[in-house]
Amino acid sequence: MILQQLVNGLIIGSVYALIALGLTMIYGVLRILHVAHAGIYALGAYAGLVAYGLSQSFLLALLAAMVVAGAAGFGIQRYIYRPLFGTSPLVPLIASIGLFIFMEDLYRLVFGPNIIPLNAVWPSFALEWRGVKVTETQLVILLVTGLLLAFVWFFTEKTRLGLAWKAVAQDLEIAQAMGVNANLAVASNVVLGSVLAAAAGLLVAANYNEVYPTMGSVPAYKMLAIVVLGGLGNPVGTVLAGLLIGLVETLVVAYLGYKLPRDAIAFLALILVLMLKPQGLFARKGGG
Amino acid sequence: MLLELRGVKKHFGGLKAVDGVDAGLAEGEILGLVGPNGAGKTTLFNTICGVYRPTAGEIYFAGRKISGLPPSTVAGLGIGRTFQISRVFKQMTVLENVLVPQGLLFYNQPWRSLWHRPGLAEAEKARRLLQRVGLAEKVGLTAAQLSLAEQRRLEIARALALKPKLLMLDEPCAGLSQEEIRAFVALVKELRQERLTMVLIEHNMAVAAELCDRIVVLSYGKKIAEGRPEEIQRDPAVIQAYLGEEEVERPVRASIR
Repeated sequence: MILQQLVNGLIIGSVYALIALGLTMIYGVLRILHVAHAGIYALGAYAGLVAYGLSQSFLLALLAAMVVAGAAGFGIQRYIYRPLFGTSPLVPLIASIGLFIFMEDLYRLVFGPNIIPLNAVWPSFALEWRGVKVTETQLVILLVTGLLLAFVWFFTEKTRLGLAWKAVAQDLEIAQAMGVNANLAVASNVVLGSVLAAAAGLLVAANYNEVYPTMGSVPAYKMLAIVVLGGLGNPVGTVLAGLLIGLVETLVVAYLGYKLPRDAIAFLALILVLMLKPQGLFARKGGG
Repeated sequence: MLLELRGVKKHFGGLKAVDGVDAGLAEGEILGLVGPNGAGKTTLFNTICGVYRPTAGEIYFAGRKISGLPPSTVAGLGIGRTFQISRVFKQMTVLENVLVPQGLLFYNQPWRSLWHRPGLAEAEKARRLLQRVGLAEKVGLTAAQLSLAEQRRLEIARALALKPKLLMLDEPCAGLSQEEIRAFVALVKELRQERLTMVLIEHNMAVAAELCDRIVVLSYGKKIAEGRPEEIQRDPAVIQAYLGEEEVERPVRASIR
C-alpha cells in the first residue's frame, strides 16, 4: 500500500519541517545553532498538555503552547544569546546545549520522569479514499502545519518584517545602518521560530499520545540533520528536506522493516550529503 | 550647524584611532575627509553613525545629541551612509535592497511591520531612486550580479531611500575606472544641486578638490588641517602627512650613496 505510506510519510515529514524551519530561521538571523530549540519543542508539548487538561480544547492547548514557547524563546534570546553576542560561536552553542539539558531536567522535576498521555479527543472525521486512510490526528497535523508554513511564507516573503529578517541575516551592520532595529528583528524571529517548535511538539504529543521529559532528544539531533540537508539557513530547502526525511523514513520502515533503526536514517542521509554535496541538498546557486 | 563634533575620541585599547576631533558641517555643504591610511577616517564615520560609542566627546546632529544612540536610530534621524568595501545585500534583488531602508517607519513598530506589505507605491518610489542613480534597467537583477561601480550606485540609492539630511560616502571612488569616477562626480554634483549635505571620505585629491566645499585632514586620529580645497593642497602640514615618508627616505638614500 504505497499510497498510504506516502501519506504517512508526508505527514510526519511536515512535522519535521515545522521544527527544522524554526531552527533554520533562527540560525539564519542569529548564526547560532539553537540546540535548545528541541527543549522549546518539549515545552510546547507540556504547555499544551496542561492547557488541554484545563480546557479540553485542542485549539486552546495549541495557542497556549505557542504563547508559552514564544515567551520562552524571547527570554532565551534576550537573556542568554544577546549578552553572548560577539563571542566565539562556540560560546552560544555550548550555552544552548546546557540550556537544553537544563530544560529536560526541569520538565523531569516538575512533571516527573514518566510518560504522560495527552488523550486528545476530537470529533471523528477520519478520511478514507480507496483504502488510503487519514486519521483525525493526521488531519489535524496536516491542517496546522500547512497553516503555519503558509504563515511563515507570508511573513518572510511579503512583509516588512520578513525583509528586515533577510537584511539582518545577510549583513547585520548594514541592516542597522539602513534603519532596521536589529534587536526587534532578531527577537521576533526567535519568537516565531519557537512558536513553530511548540506547535510541532504538541502535534507529535497528540500523534503518539505521549509527553515525556526527553521527547526533544531525538528531534534535537534530527532537526540538525534536516537543517544541514536543506542548506543551513535556507527555509525552502529545510521544508523540502523535512518532508523528504519523513517520506524516506516511513518507506524504509514499511518495506525494509526495522533492520535499520528509523531514527538513524536522517543521519545516514546527512553523512551521505556531507560527503557528496556539503553545501546541502537544496543550496541556492551563487549563495554565499 | 547640521552636524557638530566636539572633541570626539575613539580609542581601541591603546590605539587612539580618533583622538579629539572638532568639526562642524553646515546644511548644504560638502565636507571632504582626507588623510593617509589609518588616519581614522572610517572610524570617525562609524562613530558618527552609531556603530561605535565615542570614548569621549559628543556628536550633535540637527541640534540633537546622537553620540551613544544605536545605528538604526541614527539612520532614522536622517544620516544615510555607504561603506568603504561595497556592501550591498548580495542575495536580494536590486529593488529589495532599496525597499529595506524604505521600511524605516515600520521597524520600530513590530505589529505594523508584521502586516505591512511593501506595496506598488513603495516599489515605484524605489524604482525612481534607482533610475536617479542610473540603475533603472537593473531593478530585477540580484545585487551580486552588479559590477562594482553599479554596487556603489546601489548603495547610494539605498542611502537616499532613508531620505537623509546627511549623506556620508566612504571612499566611493575606490576601485573605479576614470570614466566611472567621472560619472560618480556628476552624480554627486546633481545631489549637491538639491542641497543635500554630504561627508565624503576620499583618497583621490583631485576628486575631493572638485566636489568639496571644505576639507578636513586627519592624521593619526587628529585633525591637522581644515580649509578650502586649494588651501589644503598648499598646506605644509598636509604635504608632510601625505608625503612624509618620502622626506624621510631621501636622506637615507643620500647616506647610502
